[in-house]
Amino acid sequence: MQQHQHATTTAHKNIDRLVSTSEVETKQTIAIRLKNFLLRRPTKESIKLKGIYKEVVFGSSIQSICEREKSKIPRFIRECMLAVESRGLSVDGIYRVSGNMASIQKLRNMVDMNEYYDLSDSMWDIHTITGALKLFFRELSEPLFTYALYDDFIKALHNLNQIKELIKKLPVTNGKTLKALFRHLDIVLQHSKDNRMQSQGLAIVFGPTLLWSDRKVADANMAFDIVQRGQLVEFIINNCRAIFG
Amino acid sequence: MASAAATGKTFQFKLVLLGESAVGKSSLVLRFVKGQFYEHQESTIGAAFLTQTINLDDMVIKFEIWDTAGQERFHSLAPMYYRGAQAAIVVYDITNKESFNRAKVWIEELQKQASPNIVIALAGNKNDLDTSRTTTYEEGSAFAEENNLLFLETSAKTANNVNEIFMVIAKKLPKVNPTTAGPQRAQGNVDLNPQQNTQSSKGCC
Repeated sequence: MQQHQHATTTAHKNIDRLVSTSEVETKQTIAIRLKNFLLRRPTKESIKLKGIYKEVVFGSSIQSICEREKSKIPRFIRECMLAVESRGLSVDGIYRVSGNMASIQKLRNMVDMNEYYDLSDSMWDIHTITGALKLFFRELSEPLFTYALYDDFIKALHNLNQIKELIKKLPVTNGKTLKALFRHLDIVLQHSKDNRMQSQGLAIVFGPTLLWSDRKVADANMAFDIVQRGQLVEFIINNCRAIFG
Repeated sequence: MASAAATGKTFQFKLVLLGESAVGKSSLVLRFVKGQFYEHQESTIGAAFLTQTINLDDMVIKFEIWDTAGQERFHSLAPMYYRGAQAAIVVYDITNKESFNRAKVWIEELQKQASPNIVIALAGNKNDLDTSRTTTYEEGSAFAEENNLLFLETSAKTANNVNEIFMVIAKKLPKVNPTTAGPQRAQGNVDLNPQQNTQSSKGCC
């Protein structure tokens, strides 16, 4: 928002300069009209309030994406998982290997702009897709495991029943998304002979991507925190069938 | 560089490994420190710390190695590890073009943010997989030359050039202030973060 305002002020100054240096009257009127137009432009915040501008997919929350799509699991997640299941299961280091950042950003923009995209198209490298999926989870306004239940989940580490109960406490859409994601990871794991990704490796990748706290953590504790998050994700991957049926 | 005064002395250097995920940073370190190679090396969490000592002429060079995690989620931690480092190895995978591009970005970042005298080596790892190569030796070496970097193609799997890359770094590092007995902080730099460097015990940070 501040950046937006800043940009407007800069534009304002530039136009003032334009106005003062311009000698031709028509040019002046155009500049003045443009200036008035720019100054009439509503702020990002006000259009957000009116619902015209939205943080569409990336940077939004699971609940609001599902509400808008009238779905139980965000469509983008389903499509990424489908693409991986159809052509990524035997790719060495799937989910661990990074994708091309420029392609990931391109895909992200297309998704946010609601443009047509087809993840089965070979233009999308499989590592771009896994990279975009990981980015999606990292950019959520709230982690998949939610802030409210973060401590409870960490405490429930290695306790199957407690974890089951906690998953039931999640918002419905988060619970459904979680279930779909872990079932997907279970499928990836079944192909670990080909892709060399064991549950520990998948957990290191997904632990910090799916859980984080809203409290500021000291650098020294961060590694320990990350280890615990990884352990929780690893436990859920390894007990996927017992937890989700 | 090995002046008479330096003879028989121990020098300690902080070295950091950077590079995209799955290029073989941990495998290179494991090969150098333990002489081993795991086909199923796990992803690194945060960073791992190891030490290895080598003899160079009459001197003993002790490397404190910080092996960082390549996963995107950990990138924000990298400055914590390369801060105060006297040497860096930026690793890419010769079969993964993207990792070479990413290596260039790491080098740019090091040149801007790390100690101005840092010795940087570029390692094109996995050169046992020559048939699936996507970055030629010439590309790597030309980039290294332009940017005044040490350059070798390595293979943690076959051990090709692994000891050598640490050796060329050891040769290039300036030998000032030999270490006396006992644990010591990194030499030759103003240490702005003493509390971080004191935890030089083994294991994950």
